[in-house]
Amino acid sequence: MEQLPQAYDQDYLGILVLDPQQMFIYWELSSLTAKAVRAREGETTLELQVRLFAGTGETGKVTWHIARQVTLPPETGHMYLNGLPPGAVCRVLIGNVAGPGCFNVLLTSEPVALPPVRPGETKESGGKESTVGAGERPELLGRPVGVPGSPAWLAGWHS
Amino acid sequence: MLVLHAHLPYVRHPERPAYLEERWLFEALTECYIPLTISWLRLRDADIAFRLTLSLSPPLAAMLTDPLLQDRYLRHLELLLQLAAREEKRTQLDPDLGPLAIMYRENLEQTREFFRDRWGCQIIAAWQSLALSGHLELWTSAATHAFLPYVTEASWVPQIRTGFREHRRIFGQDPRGIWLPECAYMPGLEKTLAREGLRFFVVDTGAFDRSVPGPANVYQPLHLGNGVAAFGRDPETSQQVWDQRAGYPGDGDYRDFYRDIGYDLPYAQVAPFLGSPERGDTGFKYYRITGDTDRKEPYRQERAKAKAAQHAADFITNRERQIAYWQEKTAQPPVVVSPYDAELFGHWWYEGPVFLENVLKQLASPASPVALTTPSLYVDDFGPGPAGRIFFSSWGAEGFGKVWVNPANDWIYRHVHQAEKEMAALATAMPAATGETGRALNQAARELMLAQASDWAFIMSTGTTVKYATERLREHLLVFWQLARMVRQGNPDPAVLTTAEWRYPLFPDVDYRDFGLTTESPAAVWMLTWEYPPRILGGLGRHVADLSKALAAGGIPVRVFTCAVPGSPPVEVIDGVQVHRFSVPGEPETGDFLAWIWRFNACLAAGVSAVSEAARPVVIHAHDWLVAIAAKELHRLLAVPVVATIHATESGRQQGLHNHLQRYIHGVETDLVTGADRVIVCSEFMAAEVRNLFKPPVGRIVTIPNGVNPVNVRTGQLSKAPDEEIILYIGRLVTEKGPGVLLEALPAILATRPQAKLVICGRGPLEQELREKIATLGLADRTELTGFVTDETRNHLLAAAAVAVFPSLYEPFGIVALEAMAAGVPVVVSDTGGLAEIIQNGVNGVKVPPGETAALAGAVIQMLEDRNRAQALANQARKDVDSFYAWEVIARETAQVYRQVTG
Repeated sequence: MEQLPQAYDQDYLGILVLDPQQMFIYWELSSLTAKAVRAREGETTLELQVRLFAGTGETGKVTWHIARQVTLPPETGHMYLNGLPPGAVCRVLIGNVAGPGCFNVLLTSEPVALPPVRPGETKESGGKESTVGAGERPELLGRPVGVPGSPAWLAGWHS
Repeated sequence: MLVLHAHLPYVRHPERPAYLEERWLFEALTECYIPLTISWLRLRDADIAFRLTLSLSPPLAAMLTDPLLQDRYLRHLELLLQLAAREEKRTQLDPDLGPLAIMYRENLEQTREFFRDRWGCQIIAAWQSLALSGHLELWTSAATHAFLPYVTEASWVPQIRTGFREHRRIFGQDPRGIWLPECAYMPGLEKTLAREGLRFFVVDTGAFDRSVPGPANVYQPLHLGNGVAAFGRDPETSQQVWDQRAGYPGDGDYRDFYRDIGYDLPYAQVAPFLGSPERGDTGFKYYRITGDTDRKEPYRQERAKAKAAQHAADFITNRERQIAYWQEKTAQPPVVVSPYDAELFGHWWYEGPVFLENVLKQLASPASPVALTTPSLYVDDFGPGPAGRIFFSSWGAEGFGKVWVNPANDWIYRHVHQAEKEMAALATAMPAATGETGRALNQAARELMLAQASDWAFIMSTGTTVKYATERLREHLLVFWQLARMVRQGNPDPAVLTTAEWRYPLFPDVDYRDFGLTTESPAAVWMLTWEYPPRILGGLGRHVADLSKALAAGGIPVRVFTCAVPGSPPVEVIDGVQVHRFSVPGEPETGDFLAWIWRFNACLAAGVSAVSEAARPVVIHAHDWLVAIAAKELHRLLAVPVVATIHATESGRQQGLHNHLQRYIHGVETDLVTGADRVIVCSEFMAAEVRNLFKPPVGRIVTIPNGVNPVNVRTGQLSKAPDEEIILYIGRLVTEKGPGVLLEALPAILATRPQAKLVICGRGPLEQELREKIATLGLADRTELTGFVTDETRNHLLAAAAVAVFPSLYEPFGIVALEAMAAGVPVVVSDTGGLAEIIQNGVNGVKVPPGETAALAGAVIQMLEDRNRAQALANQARKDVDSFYAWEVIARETAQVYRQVTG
């Protein structure tokens, strides 16, 4: 059975906002870029980092400050970033650490806006990142569904 | 305001005589759509003036109008009627189950009569009739029910426009409202909706809670601008119907969904009616919910109907109280918006249609203090509500996106987004494809939209038919890529195309070009430049040519505006770039140069302005001060952002500002840099120079190196005397490029390498001075001034050169050095400007202090003596060019800048 490609050999970075404090990012470095960076740094492996910048202020007068900095485990291609500032405009950069204080940007995202929260809606998540999700099955349906005598009833399609 | 959203994933399998998942449609028809429609027609026949909004998703509409599925549904009904006959016989002596078997048989007969005999298998026609009589307000939805915040914005237009077009085709009228799939809203969507002629949609309550300038009142719409209003879901009516503890459908008198004979009876008895080897639902369910127990009591139809009527009365009483309360608090009549999945009524909640009929009948009564309305009626009477903004939201878990992005389904997005990118590139690159190419592109659009359906991610989340959802997504994307490859290669395979169209024939009017239209991303980029091929005076012209072609190849339409060149047409397309050339009186090389620049800019502004009457850019990209006056004027006229590339500064070229002309140019540069939305420079050296000279606002400067196309320089053939060592210089003959320094270093080089020969290529004001210096130094037989060389000649010289030297005193970048590196020629450069950033000393070339002839001579001699080392440096240089300076990379980074200023 033909499968979808494991990778597209392109440089890209995608962001999907999950909720006011969480986003899902995925990326790929092309073989050309990865090879070039390794050659430039003289390294066989790349230490990649993701840096999330949150902006405050009005359009044209945005001040960016770093809100999250995570070293990426090798061979990962996606991550969930949690504990983000609700309502902020964020940009994500992925780059390699070439030395102390030297961060070479390889991928940058466009600015994305996190939705705001209602007062008291913020959840403490400890700002943990994960590449495999929170470990618990999310509540799948926000719209409450009647339970006709069974403890769990999903308004999805029966299998 | 009752809003029912009817949607099912598009499931159609002509390759098999039957397919289990097609039963989703058949069950929904039998238990929901037909009973609801029969109820509505009954009310109309009784002159009950009810009003209801029905949103019909395009995939569902496509299935309902599909002859194959209509035929299969009729056969499904026949099968169920056979089962009904058996059940009636089996239960005829059972006082509890016997009447129910009869009920099911009668219902199925009524269903068949309604669907086949009365409406000719076109239930859509019944809804159309109800819309024409004013009882239903029909809405559309996104083409394949894509979760719009999670597809790229380039897909918003095709999803929405295709849905709109389908609705118009099927119903013969334009929808005014749209059901955003999963009520998922993203800021900016309202602009797209407005452009497509849509005016209303529904969002979840939380969107209104989080709106600005403060929580919005969910009992009136919110005007988002452009005449588009959002209606917020009322939490009370949602809870009464959906709540798992207190909601109506969980009442003990209602039919239990799970007690189906497909699971209860011996397998052999039900197997012929199941549709697959696995046990499944038949629709014959004989028990009621009863309570929180496994001992279910037999279903009592009349008791359930009475309960539904009781719940309807309760629902209405609560609405009356609710509206009476809010009437005191709102300036205009409050509206309670109650949106539901249509399939709740009848399929999940068997008595739902009875409940709804009672609600509609009572609320439509003239005596009712609460009136039924629709979004159109409400807005026509009372307006779109106060102005406000809302943010990303949905009616999924916790009001956002977790259902559609989580570990069960997050893997799909890179694949879907890559396909979206390719579709946009194809649509932009081939705006007028016809024949089989056009067919292939349209089918690729269908496959992509089918892959974008929110159903697949939802099903993966719920963990129900995951295998089916995964296979569907995979299949659509694989077929998409197959079609895309065929289109790119120029050979669409008719057999592949026909098969794909046969499998998924929905959206006959699909237009792939909708993917080429974007709302927020840069569409057309208009470049202003004083030189463009065939007029090439220096690196700028080549840069603009290569950049514009790379952008066009990446799917970004580019127009270049420049001055006329004798022998070149006023408008032409070169490698996908549309080039406009305007005549300018006089010649820049003779007479008053500044006056010519003014005339050129006037002609440029007038010419571009004229073109803008038929087309619009989203960004103007100005190259250097030479077009700054026109750029400023066009920014004012067209109100689009300006990106300026500063290739070099006057102060840098002249090593200071020494006369009026230079100061004037500096002033124009200042104006350009401080006025542009972004300034692109080619090196950190230039970035620092621009910052120091012009003090632009912080964050305005972006460094993107110049690119080179290695293919262009690797075509040369070696042609020289056997022992000759060619030292090559290519560049303008101006002081800042340093040819004089190289000439002064030549005697020292020749003293050690008498076989060396300096070849100087280029033109410029220094030419005569250089000739005189050659004569004075007695270097005439070891030096050649070629003047301007064609690219072909340049490539031959590069192939013959032992070393290329760029002894610049001022060099913002050094594109010619990059070309030499690309051609595999060892390079010696001055340690200045952009050259210092490109060359790593001893790694991919050699750097010497600028202006120092002794150091320059020594470096050249070393290169000529140690050929192994020279070759190693050249090899590394070539690799670096391939890795960092490919035009595809440069174009992508430049496009990012365009997005920043337009987004």
